[in-house]
Amino acid sequence: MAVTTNPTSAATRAPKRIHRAWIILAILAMAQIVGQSISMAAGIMVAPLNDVDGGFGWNLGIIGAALATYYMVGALVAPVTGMLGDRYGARPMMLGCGIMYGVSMVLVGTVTEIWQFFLYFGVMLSVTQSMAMVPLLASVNGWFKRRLGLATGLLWASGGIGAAIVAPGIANLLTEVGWQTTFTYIGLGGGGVLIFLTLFYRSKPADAGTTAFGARADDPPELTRGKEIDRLRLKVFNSAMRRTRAFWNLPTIHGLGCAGHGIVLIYSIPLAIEQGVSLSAAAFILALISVFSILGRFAAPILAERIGAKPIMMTALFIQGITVLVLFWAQDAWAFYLFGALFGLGFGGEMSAYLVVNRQYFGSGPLATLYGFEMMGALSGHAIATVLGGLAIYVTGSFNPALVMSMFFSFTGVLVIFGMESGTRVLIPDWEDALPPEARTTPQVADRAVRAALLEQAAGD
Amino acid sequence: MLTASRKVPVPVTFLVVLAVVFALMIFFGAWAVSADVGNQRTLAFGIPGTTPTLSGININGADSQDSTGPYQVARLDDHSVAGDTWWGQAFLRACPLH
Repeated sequence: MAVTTNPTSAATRAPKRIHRAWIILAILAMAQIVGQSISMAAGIMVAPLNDVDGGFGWNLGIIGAALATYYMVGALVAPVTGMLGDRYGARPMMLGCGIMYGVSMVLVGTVTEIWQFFLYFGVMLSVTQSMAMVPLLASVNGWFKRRLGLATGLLWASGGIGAAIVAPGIANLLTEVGWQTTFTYIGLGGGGVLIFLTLFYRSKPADAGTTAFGARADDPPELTRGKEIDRLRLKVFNSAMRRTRAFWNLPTIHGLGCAGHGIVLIYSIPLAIEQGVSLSAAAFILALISVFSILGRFAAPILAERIGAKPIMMTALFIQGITVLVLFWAQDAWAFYLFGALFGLGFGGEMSAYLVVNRQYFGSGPLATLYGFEMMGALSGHAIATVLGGLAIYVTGSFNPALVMSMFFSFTGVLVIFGMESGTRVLIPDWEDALPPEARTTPQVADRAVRAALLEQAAGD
Repeated sequence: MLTASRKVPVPVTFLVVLAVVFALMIFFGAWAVSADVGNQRTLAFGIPGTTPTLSGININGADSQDSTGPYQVARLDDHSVAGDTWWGQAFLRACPLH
């Protein structure tokens, strides 16, 4: 009787260890919570800045202009921070982000003049948040060959949960210890956390001497190349991406999606109050949207990876658009609650699948620049939603045109996704053909490079 | 080798969306300027938790028409009309429908 051996028997199996990629993911989740605390603080700081009995007493127009500056600067710098992340790696960006966060927040605590608020909050913290959101989030792509959807879903969901905890925390601090101490605490705490996490964070698996989660033995090894070659590869990769329709359409879709839900997030509460819903019940609508958006944020990337990003993104945007119909007839609190739950699912799903889509269209290349452009679209969408929605309500005296506009943006997004390339194949599989042979990662070249390195090492020994 | 001189094919959808958003901005901007009713402009860039309702009640409970309330609302100068401002005139010139 032949004896068979199981190569993965308990005797030979290596002890299970947590892959470094999951630790990186936990670090990124923390960084995202710190980064999101900036926009959380934005909503909370309006009341003390506007309070006539407080130290500021600025009108809402001025504060709104500062927040608009924050959005616009964020939209402009997102591609730049993405590009810097691709060029220098996400780790230096995290360190820079920690320093910027600490300095900017402490400075916000010292604000006495309006120009200071524009500079510290509208410009410096906008750049900081862009550094936290774009290159750091995009770096997940390099750490996960498999399960990118799960990793992205966890990242977005933890960011949503964290934001829900951070917001009341900041509000309590403002009440308890006042403006300057609050922002000094937040700055030193958040900045310190980011700088501390930088010690354990690595931009890519090769920097930690490991491989990406799910990497197979036949995958080409990650080579450490010279700066010149890395720069050339990035240039050629970005050039190849720019010549695809997806490169232009993805930021457009993100912009349309954000414009679609931006209008609803801003104006659904005033609408509910207008319909006779109490303030606390109206506030509960936003809470429902937030909670159900966490489900959407978590599920969309996972489903996008399994089923394909196109149908999932279309479904999420369609849900986001169609649920707005409820608002045309909603009179009672329960109708608004129903809306909040359904809309939250679509809204959460709309925003979180982009990293997976990027992988499906462009492979595992340096994608922070593309993600930066997508964030540019998203922030522009929010700015457009705020302005257009407000103007439409102002001139017509009704919320309905703004709601129609929201649906229009969401459904246009669905159409644009429908017209996009299939995500079943990488759009630029041959982008390395444009590189000189020594800069490529084809197996043959990689083998040669590894062999040369081994020979060199042996000669040295 | 790829070079930067090759044409970048910007898709029609991108250009159409950009044009439509731009047109909507001009249309509603010009409409707002031409329908300017002076001090009733109380939209505050949609700051969360501060957007006034159409009936003038701020969602925080403050009366947005009342400048002495806890929330001060952005308004044009008492004596200025949007149509007299440089940006108001720019909107009106740019829009063929207003």
